[in-house]
Amino acid sequence: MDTNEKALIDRCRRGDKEAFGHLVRRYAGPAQGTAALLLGCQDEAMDASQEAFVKAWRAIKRFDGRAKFYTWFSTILRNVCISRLRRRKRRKTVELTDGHAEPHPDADPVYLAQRSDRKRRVWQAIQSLSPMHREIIVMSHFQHLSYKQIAAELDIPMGTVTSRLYAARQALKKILAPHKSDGPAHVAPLADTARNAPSSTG
Amino acid sequence: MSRDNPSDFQRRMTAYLDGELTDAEARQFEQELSDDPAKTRQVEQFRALNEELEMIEFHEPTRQELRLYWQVVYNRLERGLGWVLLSLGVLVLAGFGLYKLFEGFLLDPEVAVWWKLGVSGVGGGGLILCVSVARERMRLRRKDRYSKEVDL
Repeated sequence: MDTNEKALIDRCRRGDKEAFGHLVRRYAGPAQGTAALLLGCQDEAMDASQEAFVKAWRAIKRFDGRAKFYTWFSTILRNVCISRLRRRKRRKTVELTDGHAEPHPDADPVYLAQRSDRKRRVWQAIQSLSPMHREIIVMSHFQHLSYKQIAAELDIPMGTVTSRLYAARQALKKILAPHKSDGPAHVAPLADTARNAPSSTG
Repeated sequence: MSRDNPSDFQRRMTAYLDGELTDAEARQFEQELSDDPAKTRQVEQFRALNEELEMIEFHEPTRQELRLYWQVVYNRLERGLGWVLLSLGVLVLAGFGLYKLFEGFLLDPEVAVWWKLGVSGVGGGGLILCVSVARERMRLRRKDRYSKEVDL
């Protein structure tokens, strides 16, 4: 953790909301993007990430500072998103198929930095994964957690982390190359995928 | 599980691409790839996918967006204290109300026994139902990790 962040967290522990505001502004972008990927729905992402920041503020005194703030916050964010997915499923306010929300194929990924067509396709492909696969892809590729950290966070053996990551990437590969049974030499080029909205899951 | 088992290869491939193999395991895996073009092709496909994922970056909000975002978080933080005070107030009032009910209604000899039994039944039944539903919810939460609320 850098000294600036450590100083901000010390001020937060003493109840300084302005210091917390600096942390919120620093991590709002990745928090919203991560929430959008985990929820498979960007409409809820801002609200979920804000809820996670509120929970982080209430728990900041218990943050021991051994990990980076954002790593610690990411656990809270993931739990908020998982709770929302569960509530959404229970209330059936969104049409669910096999436990996850179908992404809107034309939805513009507003939390994506550079919106090339290919990146839109990859983003939408991640959103169309099952919550379990989305979660592990986010943890590995967007939160850069090691297998050991993922295993600890999810309370699963290391072998399961590897298997689940493989399954999630395999599912992504299939979504991105829907007409290729054994996969292309590279992930399918845009010309092959742009006409096909994501339709399957992992 | 045999090392020739495809799923074993896929797991090692995943760990290899993520840098999770030891140096010795990685060298052994690369040796295995050099003897098998099909496996090499498979590794390249997944490497390409990983590279695409690494290129995805989140949008950085503008200053105006950040100001509004923080304002909403700040308002929620302020409201949190309001909710705590409100909840405490409701608890105090409810406790005092129950005490007064007990004192002025259930202990009142002039109130008919049937009237007391009816009111006690409605109150007691409602309480049992609430506890039962809460207990069921708690049990479900413990069983399903995806229903867990943040636990800090």
